[in-house]
Amino acid sequence: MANNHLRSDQPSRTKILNLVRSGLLNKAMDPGSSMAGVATRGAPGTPLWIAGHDLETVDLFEEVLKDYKARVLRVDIEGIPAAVAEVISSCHIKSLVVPSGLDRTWYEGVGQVQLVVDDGSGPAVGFEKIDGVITGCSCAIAETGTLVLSGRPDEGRRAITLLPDFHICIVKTEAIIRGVSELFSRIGVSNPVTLISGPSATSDIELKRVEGVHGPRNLIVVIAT
Amino acid sequence: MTRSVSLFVSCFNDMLFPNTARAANVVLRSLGVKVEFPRRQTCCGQIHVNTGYASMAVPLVRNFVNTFSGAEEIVAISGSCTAMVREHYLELANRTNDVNLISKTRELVPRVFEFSEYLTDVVGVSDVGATYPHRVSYHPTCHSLRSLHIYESAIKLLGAVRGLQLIDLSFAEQCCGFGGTFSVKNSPMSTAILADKVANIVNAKVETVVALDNSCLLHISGALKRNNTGVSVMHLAEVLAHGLDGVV
Amino acid sequence: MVWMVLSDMAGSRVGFPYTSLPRIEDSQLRANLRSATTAIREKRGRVVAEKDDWEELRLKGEQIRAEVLNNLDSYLVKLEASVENVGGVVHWAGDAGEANEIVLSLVRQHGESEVVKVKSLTTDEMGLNEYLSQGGVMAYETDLAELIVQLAHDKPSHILVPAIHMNRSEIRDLFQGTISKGTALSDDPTVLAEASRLYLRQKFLSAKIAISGVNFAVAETGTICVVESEGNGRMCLTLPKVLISVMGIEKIIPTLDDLAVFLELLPRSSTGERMNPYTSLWSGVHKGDGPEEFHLVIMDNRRSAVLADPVGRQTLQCIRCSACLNVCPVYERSGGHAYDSVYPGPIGAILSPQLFGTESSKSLPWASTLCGACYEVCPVRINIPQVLVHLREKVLTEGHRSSSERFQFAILSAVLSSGSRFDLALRTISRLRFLINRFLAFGSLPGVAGKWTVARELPEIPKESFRVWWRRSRGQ
Repeated sequence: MANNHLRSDQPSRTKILNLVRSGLLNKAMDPGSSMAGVATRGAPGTPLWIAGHDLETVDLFEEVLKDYKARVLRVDIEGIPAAVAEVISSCHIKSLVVPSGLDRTWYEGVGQVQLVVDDGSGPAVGFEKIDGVITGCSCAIAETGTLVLSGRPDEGRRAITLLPDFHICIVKTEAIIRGVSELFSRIGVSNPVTLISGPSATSDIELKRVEGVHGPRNLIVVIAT
Repeated sequence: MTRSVSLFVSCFNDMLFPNTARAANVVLRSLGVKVEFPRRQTCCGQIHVNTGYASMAVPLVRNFVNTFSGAEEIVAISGSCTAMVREHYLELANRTNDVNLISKTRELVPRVFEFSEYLTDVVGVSDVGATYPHRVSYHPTCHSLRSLHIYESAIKLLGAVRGLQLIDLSFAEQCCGFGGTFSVKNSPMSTAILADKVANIVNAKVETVVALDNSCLLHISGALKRNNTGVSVMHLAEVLAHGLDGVV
Repeated sequence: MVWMVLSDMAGSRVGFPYTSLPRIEDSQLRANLRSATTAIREKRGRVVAEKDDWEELRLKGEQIRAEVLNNLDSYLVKLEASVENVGGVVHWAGDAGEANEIVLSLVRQHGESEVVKVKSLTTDEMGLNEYLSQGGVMAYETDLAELIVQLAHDKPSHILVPAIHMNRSEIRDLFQGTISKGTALSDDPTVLAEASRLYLRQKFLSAKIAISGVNFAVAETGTICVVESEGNGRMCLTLPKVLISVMGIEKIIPTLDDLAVFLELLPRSSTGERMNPYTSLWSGVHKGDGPEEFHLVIMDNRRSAVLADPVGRQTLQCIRCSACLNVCPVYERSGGHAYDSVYPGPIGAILSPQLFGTESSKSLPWASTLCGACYEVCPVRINIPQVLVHLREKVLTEGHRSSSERFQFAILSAVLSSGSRFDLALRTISRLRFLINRFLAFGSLPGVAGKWTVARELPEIPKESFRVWWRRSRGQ
């Protein structure tokens, strides 16, 4: 593929870079004082500053998750299988896909469920017929209620968390960081990375929020200590 | 130590709102500040810059700088003129390559203050001794609020006026729709924005709307009058001069 | 009153004063816009207030974007190398026409006649859908609002909420006539969203090629970032075999840690969320996960000319959050269509004239009161009022405004540049004030004064100017 796109075949490359370089001969205007463009605190219309959350990181994570209507369960590590079984049963999940690297003890006891263990080798089409997916989680961000999936063996490929309607995500407390700024000290990008912060949603019609468009419409987070 | 200021009244106030300048003079004098009015002053050049004729503002900048460079402190009774000086003067002076003008401008700009800011931040006063027993809303004009970051000064000064009842204005921070030549170049838009401002003023059930810019107030009062709302407008300086000796 | 003496200068049939007029008079549209912009403004206010370090984040955002722009040539070369290193193919397009050609020829090489698309302003700017359609390729928009706009043969009116101008019953009627033919739908947004889900799912599962925009491209790693809410983006980025992403040359971020800054700034500024539901990051081609081929089209389309303007350059810092639209008093009353450009609102008023230079876009720098609300919310601190004023001068210097206006301002400048000339002018006005006041009191006035008095009273000229009073009271 793409042998016909050698750089030498692309005169636009040279042209664009030359235009950019000649444009940069003009120095940008000094951005000026950092006071300009800052909202006057206390003036009408400016947000009243809310003091930073003083909650513990895990509690903050839970609060933010609930704020966007994810279902949250908090258990000990040993309590994961029971929590998973409870969710599968209460959500009437009949078929399940799990990534091959996920701890088997977490889902072995779920009972009468059609199970697909995905090792990423087959085609992605077909997962839309499966009700639910269980994954682990490389990293979670408390301030934003974000689950970070980075293609690890217990997270699987992207398609499995996209097509089923229920996503059950197991988050170990040691994976939870406080804010977004720490994210890339925890995860790399050699695999695709997906940040999930709530069930899929749209506000495109009269700004009314509708939960669930294309991704999973139900997000269940099991926080395990 | 006696403070001494040079008053910059702006072309607009000089011609149309002399009472605001006279009120500012009264307030400053009552605080023991010596007021001068350099007669060569004209216009800050804002209308040229904002309409797109910045190069034509350069001689106005030169005139302003030459007029005021000998003054200790300059007090302007317009938020937008003060913002003009702070935001554009150095850039306009730089265009001339006149080293003398550039250095005089650089020294001058930090000595130019908006009236209410001068009272609270330089003189350090919030109660000037005024009395104005009316229901009042404060409209923070865009330049005073977002360029000069003056909000608390005016609120402090109004809060200390005897008898004055300060009423919150909904969406107070929103522009009134004036915008200089915008008011005629995009006249229907300008008046549509104004209509909402006027509705908010009427809902606040106040007698007077106070601001730091007569230009915005002219625009607002034009609609308040047209709609027979009975609400008047007043520059802050005029409110502060109420009940002081020497007010005309 | 300076502008009273100016002759009428806005009589043109093109440009914002003209295109905004029917929108201002449309009370339904104004009510829709007001409730929408007010709601997003409040949401943004709440989540911004949670961040104690918001202003520091904005400063960082500004610095990172400025750093990229000031060294754009080396960042472009670096990005190209990184993307190629992870198995992507980089294409360079000097303008929209060339970018369109590249995309169409890629689609044709794979023998496809359908593609799915993630919402992308850049491809809207290119007119990609129309171009593909002329080339026999149907592009399906998959973002709900973009789908609505596409089905209605309409144009987006807001960067974030493109169908902000349509209400639920209009959308219901539209769906019943198109994607849900023969099905009775209610106008409940949940039902309408479900209808689009059913329709689009088939497209996602069958499409071989997807086209996306790019929110950020990380030079260091060749990683591309797309943020979204609905999951249509993830579908497009994950399921098809071939992915073509199109970006303007300015969309680069140096490192992943820099990217983290924008993952904080963008959602809070844009949708008023702490984080948008889905953010996808990928670096080239990942074996066993997602597309087997990845093409990145890097387009200039006059951005290099914007870069060359020392004041205008900051426009390219924009991350397309649309916060400036939601606080703008003009946008709130005109909506996006009045800007006659893919880029509406305050950012559009500075970006469109620089990118497109059309006659109508040249009126946009004046479509602002310079109130500065846009600057205050901009997550990358673009001084929009400064650029607006700069562009006003630039447009006039290039000779696109009536010379009679220029002449009047020149006279004004001559009068106001001397204290004695101004003295004389004020004395003359005072002398003629009875005449002027009577003239002003007269019902309908010509020219500019007439535009003022449509809805506003004019003041009377007082007996004495301040300077005359000052001298008289001092016996001078």
